[in-house]
Amino acid sequence: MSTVKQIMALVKQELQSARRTRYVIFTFVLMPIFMWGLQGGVQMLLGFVMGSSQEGVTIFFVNYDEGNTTFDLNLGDEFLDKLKNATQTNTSILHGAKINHIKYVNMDYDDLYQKIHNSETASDYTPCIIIPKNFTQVYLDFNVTEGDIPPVVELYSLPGGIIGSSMLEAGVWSIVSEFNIVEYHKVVSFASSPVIFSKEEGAASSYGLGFVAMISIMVAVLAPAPFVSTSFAGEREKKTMESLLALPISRFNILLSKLLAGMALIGIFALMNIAGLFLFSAMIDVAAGSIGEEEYSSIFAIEPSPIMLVLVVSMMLLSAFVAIGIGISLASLTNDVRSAESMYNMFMMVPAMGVGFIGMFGGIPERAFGGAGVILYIIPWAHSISILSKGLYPQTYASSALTRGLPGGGIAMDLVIHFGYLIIVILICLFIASKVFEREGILT
Amino acid sequence: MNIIEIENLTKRFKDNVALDNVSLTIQRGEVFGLLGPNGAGKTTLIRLLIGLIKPTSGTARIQYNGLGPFDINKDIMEIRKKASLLPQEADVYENLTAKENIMYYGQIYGNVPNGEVRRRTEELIDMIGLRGRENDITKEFSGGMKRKVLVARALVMDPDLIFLDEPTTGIDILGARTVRNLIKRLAKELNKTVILTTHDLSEVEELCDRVGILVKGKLAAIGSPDELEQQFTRAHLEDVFIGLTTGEGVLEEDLTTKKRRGFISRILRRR
Repeated sequence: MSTVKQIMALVKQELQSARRTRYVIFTFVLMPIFMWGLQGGVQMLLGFVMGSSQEGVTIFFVNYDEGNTTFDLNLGDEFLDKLKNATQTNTSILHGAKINHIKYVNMDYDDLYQKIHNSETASDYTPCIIIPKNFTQVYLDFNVTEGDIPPVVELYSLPGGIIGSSMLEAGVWSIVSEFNIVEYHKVVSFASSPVIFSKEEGAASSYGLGFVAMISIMVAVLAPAPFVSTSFAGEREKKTMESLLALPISRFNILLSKLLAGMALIGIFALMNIAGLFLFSAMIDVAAGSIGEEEYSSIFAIEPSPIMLVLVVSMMLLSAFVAIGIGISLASLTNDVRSAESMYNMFMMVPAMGVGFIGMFGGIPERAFGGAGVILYIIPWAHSISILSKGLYPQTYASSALTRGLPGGGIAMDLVIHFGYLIIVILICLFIASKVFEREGILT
Repeated sequence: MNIIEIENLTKRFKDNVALDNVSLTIQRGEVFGLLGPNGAGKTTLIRLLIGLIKPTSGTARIQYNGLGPFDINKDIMEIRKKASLLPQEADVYENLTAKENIMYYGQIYGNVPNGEVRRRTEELIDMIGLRGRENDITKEFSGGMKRKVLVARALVMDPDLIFLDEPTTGIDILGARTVRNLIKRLAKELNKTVILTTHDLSEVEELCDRVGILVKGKLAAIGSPDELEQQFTRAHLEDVFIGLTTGEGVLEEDLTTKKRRGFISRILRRR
C-alpha cells in the first residue's frame, strides 16, 4: 500500500505540474480539436486528389463489351482508354493508379463476381471495374425519354484505404460522366458497390478511416514530446532530479509513476481526439451541404461507431505508450528539455508520419504491399493502424491477412500478432528506459 | 553513540578516484562539517551515504535509534526512510506552491498519514518564515525563498539524519541566519545528526561540532575546529584548510609528544 501511495503522490504531482503548464492545455486538449478542425477546413477548401500508395493502386478492368460491329464501336475499350488517360493526368483524381486489364479478362462474369464477393479472395480481385457485354449496344439503343434502362458500369471495391476508397468512385464517376450526352439522351449509369461482408458496416467512407488512422497515430506519437522532455530531462535541467532520487522510492517506481502520469494525459488526449473526430465529421457534412459536392461528404465523412471509437482510443493509447517508452530513454540521456524534445521529434516524426500517410492510403493491411511491408511492420505504429483496420473490417481484410495460409491463420491471429508486437515493444522500451534511468550518470 | 561508521570507502569514476579509502565515524546529534575544495569528494561522500551512487569498495553503516545498523550496500531504502538530502544544486517544482512542494515530499515517504504530513508542513512553514506565501506558486519566489522551501522539504518527515549540501548558498543574511538557527535547533534540541558541506568557514565554526577536511578524495584531517587549529598550529580554521588544500604544508604538532615535524614552507597568520 505504501508503494501505491508513493506512486500516486508522484502521479498527482506530475499532473498538477502539467495542469499549470500551458503546453499541456494546448497539446493535449486543443491540439486534437485544432488538427481535426484544420483538416476539415482544408478538405473543405481545397478538395483532395487521389494519390497512390508506394506500390501504386492497381485497378482491375474487365471488358465484356461485345461492341457494335456496324459502327465499329466498342465503348468498353473507349472507357478503358479514358481511364488510362485519367491515371496519367496530374489533375485527375485517379492520377497515379495502375490499370490492369489483362489479368482477369478470360474469367467469365459469374466466376469473377463470385471471387469478388468471397472474403478469402476479394482483395485479389478488387477494385474491379466491369463493363458488361451489351454495354455499347444498350448505349446506342438507349433513349431516356422512352424510359429505357441505361448501360451500367460496375465498380466493386473493398472499404479500407485508397483501394476501396470513394476517391476511386469519384474518379470513375467523372469518366462515366464523359459518356453522358444528355442532349442526345445518352447516359451511362454507374453502379459503385462496396463489397460488404456479413456483420460489417459498410464504411461511409473508407478514406475517412485512413484519415482517422493517420491523424490519431501522428498526434498520439508526437503529442507526448513536451511531457516526456519536461518530466525527465526537465527534472535534470531544473535540478530537481537528485532530491527526488534520494527519497525512499525506487527509480523504477519513479519511472512507472511518470509513465502513468503520461498515460493519464494521453487518455485525456484520446478523448479530445474523439471530440475532434466528431467535429471533423460535422464540418464535412456542412461543407458537402453548402457546396453540393456530395462526393466530398462520401469521401471524407466518418461515421464513428462505438467499436471504431474503442479501437481508436486503444490504438492511440498503445501507440502513445510505445512513444513514451522510447521517449523516456531518449530524455534520460539528455540534460535539457530542448535537446530531449529535439531527439524525440527526430526519432518519432519520420516513422510516425510515414506510417500515418501510408496508413491513410490503406497500404498497411494489404498483403500486396510486398517486401516494403516487412520494413514497415518494424515500426510499431504500423501495427496500431492494422489493429484499427482489421478490427473494424475483419472480413474485408481476411483475404489480405498476414497469416493467411498458415494453420489457424486469419484476422484473429493477425490481431494477436499486432497486439503482441506492440506489447513486446513496450516492455523492451520500459526495460531500456529503466536501465538508462538507473545509471549513476543520470545525476550529472 | 555513532550513527555513521564509514570504513575504507572508495569511489572510482573510470580513471578518477573521487573518494579514496575514507574512514570516519559520526556521532548521533552531531553537526559534522565536510570541507574541501571543489572536486575533493564531499558530494560524492554524501551521495554514497544516501545511496545515489554505489561504492567501488568499502562500506558504511548507519544506525538510527532502535533501527539498524543499515549497510549502504544493501539497505539503502531503509536508510532513506530516516534520512534526507538537500543537494547543493536543487530547486523547487516551480509549478507547485510552497505548501505543495513540501507536502509532495512528505507523501513520497508513503507510510505516514496525510494529516500528519499536513501538520508537519504547517509547522515548517512557520519555522522557515513562509507564512502568507505558502499558497503561492514557487515560480514567483526569489532564490532565497526557494532555498527555504527546499530546507523545509528536507525536514518534512522529521529525519534522524540530514545531509545539507551548502544549505545557505544564495540566501540573504536573515535567511541564512534562520537556516543556521534551525540547524542548531535540530542538533541540540531535537538530537538530529546533520552532515553539512559549506564553503563558509564562519558557518563551520559556528555550527559544526567536528569537521572533516577532504583533499583529492582523501580525508586529510578530522576534528573539532579548535582541535584542528591546535593540531596544525593555526589561529583560524581557514588557515588549516588553505594549508591542507594548497599543499603548501602545515606545521603539524603532535599534541601528546609535542614534537615538531618541521616541513613548513610558508605560514599564513591572521590575527
